[in-house]
Amino acid sequence: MLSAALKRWQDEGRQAADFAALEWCMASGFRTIESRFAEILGNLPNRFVAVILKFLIQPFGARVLGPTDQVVHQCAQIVLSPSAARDRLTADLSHVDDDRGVARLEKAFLLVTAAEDISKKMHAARLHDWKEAVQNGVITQSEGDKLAAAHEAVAKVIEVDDFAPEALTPIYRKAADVHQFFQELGEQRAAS
Amino acid sequence: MIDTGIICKSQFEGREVLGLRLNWHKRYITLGPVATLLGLAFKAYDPDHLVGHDEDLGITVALIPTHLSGVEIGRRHLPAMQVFQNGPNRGHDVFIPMDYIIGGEARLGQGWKMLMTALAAGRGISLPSLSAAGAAYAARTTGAYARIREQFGISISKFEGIEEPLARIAGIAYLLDARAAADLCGAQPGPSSRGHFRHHETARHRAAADRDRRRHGRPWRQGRDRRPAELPRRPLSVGAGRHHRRRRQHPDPQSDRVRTGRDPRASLSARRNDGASRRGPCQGAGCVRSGILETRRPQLYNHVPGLGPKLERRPVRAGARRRRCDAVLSPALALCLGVCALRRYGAVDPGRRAQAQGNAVGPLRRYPLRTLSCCRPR
Repeated sequence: MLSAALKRWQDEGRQAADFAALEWCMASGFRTIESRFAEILGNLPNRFVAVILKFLIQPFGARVLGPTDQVVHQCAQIVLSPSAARDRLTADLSHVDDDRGVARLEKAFLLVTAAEDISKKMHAARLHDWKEAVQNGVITQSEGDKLAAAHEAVAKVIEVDDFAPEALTPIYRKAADVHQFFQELGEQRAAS
Repeated sequence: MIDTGIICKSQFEGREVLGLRLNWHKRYITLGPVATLLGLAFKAYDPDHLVGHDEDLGITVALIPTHLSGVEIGRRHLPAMQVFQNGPNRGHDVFIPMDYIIGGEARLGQGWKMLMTALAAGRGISLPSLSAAGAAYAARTTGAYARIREQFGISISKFEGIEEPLARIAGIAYLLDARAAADLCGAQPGPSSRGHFRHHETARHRAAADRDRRRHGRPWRQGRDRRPAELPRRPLSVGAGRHHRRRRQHPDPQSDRVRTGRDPRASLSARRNDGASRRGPCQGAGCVRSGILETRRPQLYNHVPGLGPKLERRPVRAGARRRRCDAVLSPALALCLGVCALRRYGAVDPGRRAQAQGNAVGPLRRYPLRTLSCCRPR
């Protein structure tokens, strides 16, 4: 699998932007290989051979720790902004331009990443409301509109389905009904 | 296999030919609803001895054009709620000439070999491509979502706890697509590496399936009412090492009880738990030291020697296997061990313990002695 990853990198023209993904693949693959070797040597039935092999192959044990924090950070950045690397990574996915979950997400993602500089400016000015920022002259009106559109798109994405309690529980009663029910029950008991 | 092909003669394209009349009903056929040509495995029979002496010819594979009369395709399954071309198809009295069998008449009954070699290749294409697409989709949507969601005024993608799985998703997407591409562009990795890859691809499915299996394999709750009546109450255990092997070699022909004499390690399985035989030769304090290793409920395959899982040989106490002089321990020590066992298993002898727990398999429980003195089974 690691050879396939290397081949892909070579075939795609040694893209520098993809290098973090490749590095992540190789580092985690090497960690797997090392730990498998350690497991095999630790469980080999012939202990004599195991000790010799251990001395030859892994005298200090499994020492590869996997991808470093820096690699992890760079690899995560690939999917966090619209880029050619991201498109290469997620090539050939069908994109339906409707108003459903994935399309909304994609739209919001583009708007948010486009408005990143604007929100940085507001952050620097310690402002949270874009209207206030426009009034103070931190950002222009058009930038404010962009930000508003991004906020709206995000709100649409994170919106989730909700249901009326009656729709989920057939025996549901409203609080007032429950109160009345118990009152009637109490009256009945008192009467009988 | 209910799918059959009867060898007979019938009219096909204007002349009478020798062929097979097929009846089948298949489910979960990938690309079945849109197929123009079906590869079908069925059992061929020759009741009229038209091609030879044998009536049962065995599994045969044929290619069947879906325009033949009697073939019903088009309905679809929704496997794992994915819109994926996969569905049932059936055929009712579909006649095909002998030429439609893969390899012709000479290959009648040789379908099993064909299936075993061809199915693996099919899985080697569909599973990796499905996994690669799934990983790419996950990378695209998870990355976008992590980028747009904010907590405490910053995007959650800046948290290291989110970054780590994001990097993993991106890395796996890169790797899987690379591997699928290598597979499709003609790199021949050899069957073992393909199998290895498929193993990686489906590892998560298997993990889920394992969990499921574990859930199904969970013993019944304690108490007799939970146990279906048809299963005999028979605890099964594995003796320790050497003695276990000896038991296997010399079984008592009268019952499955073993003549172990005072062998302290004669284990629970040697004794049926049906009352009469509980008065076995190794009743008493010496028996306590026998290693109950594991009990489990009887399975169908118990009746077939050599089938079934290998039970874990786990000594109850550390070092139980090493203690060879158990038989000559003084009665005082035996009594002491009996008390220990009572505390540990809730009964002096393992059979009672198993009975007390409804033969349930489960963690060996430790009860305080005071509790046991109240609820010890008679």
